[in-house]
Amino acid sequence: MLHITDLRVIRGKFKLQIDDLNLSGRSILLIGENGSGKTTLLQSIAGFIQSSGKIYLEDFEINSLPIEKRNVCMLSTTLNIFKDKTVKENLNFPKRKRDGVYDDLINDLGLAEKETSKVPIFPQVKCKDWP
Amino acid sequence: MKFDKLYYIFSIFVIIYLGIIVVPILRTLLFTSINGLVQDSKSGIIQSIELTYLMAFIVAIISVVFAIPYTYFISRSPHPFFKFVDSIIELPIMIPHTVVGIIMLLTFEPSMPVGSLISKIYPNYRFDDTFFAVIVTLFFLASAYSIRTIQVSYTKNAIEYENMARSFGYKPLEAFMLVSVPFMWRSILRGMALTWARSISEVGSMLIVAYYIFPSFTHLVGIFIYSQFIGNGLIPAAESSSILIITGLLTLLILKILEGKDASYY
Repeated sequence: MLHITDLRVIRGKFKLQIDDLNLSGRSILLIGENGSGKTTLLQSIAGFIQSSGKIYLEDFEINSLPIEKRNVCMLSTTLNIFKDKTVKENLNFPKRKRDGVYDDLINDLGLAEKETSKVPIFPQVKCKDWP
Repeated sequence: MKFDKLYYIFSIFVIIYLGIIVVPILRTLLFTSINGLVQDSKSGIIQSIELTYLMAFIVAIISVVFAIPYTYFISRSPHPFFKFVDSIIELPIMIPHTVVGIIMLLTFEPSMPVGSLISKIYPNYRFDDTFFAVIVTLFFLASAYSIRTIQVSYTKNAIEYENMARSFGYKPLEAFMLVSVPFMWRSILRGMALTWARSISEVGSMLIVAYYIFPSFTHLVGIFIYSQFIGNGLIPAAESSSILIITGLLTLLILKILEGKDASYY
């Protein structure tokens, strides 16, 4: 569960202000117009940008922690793959991962036969626009 | 492949540009005979080139050692003050090089502010005509080339990748070394090559701070060729210049091959 109180982020002329927000569940969809602050909120939670206020993850206050200690991973839509690394190297890149996650992933994604291939051989998957 | 008109128009500029660069170099190389080069190689030019290349290499290494953390720091410092700080970097390129020599004497001579501080730590400290004088002056003049070249490659994308790596559990230094350094590798080498090349070409400030270098009394190559020209005339100076151009071309070619390819990300 993620609980946010009094979050303030100022980026140039843009100001994001969240007084109280509770998020729980396996998957959460965040929708908003361009420039409404979706990425800013996610980057604040991950610690990529400075913000004031409190962010609690499973009752631990994480906003004072550095990125690597927050236990929050963030991948952007465009920057997420090392082109020069193989499938195996890409999937094994995270330092903090649970045991057996690589085997689960490589099988779930059906990439076991291509684990030594470099990533660019795969066509880029593009999400369709939200209807 | 069919080229448009603009391609042919721009090719004229390329030809003129290459002509301006290549013709004087070719002229110098063709002006000298193989025999002349062999004879001139006994004049001390080889020792002078060796010393100059070594000094320039040390300066290039030091420049990169400073350029990498500098780039990291400035990229993450949004305050306008740091934009001002960053603009100072190019100032040494603009200052006439003889003036740079004088600035260095005014700062590092044992009787001057920084020099007197160093003298307190090292009582036998002297500045002019020393290796230290050469390195610190060349660093002052040429380090901007490393910094600017590396800065260009340290993009917002690289910083986002680093953040992503940190969110996967890597510490800041680990993320930087693992993600950004491979990304910048080519620029680091290119920055080194530029700083190295710029250091070799320096004469003006060296005439002031290190006309000879103790204890060997060897001249840096720019001063060596200048002395040859003043003392013995055009031909020996042209022969030494040819040797310098040939060795310089070979070194830059090797560096170009070593540059290879950057790691590339989406």
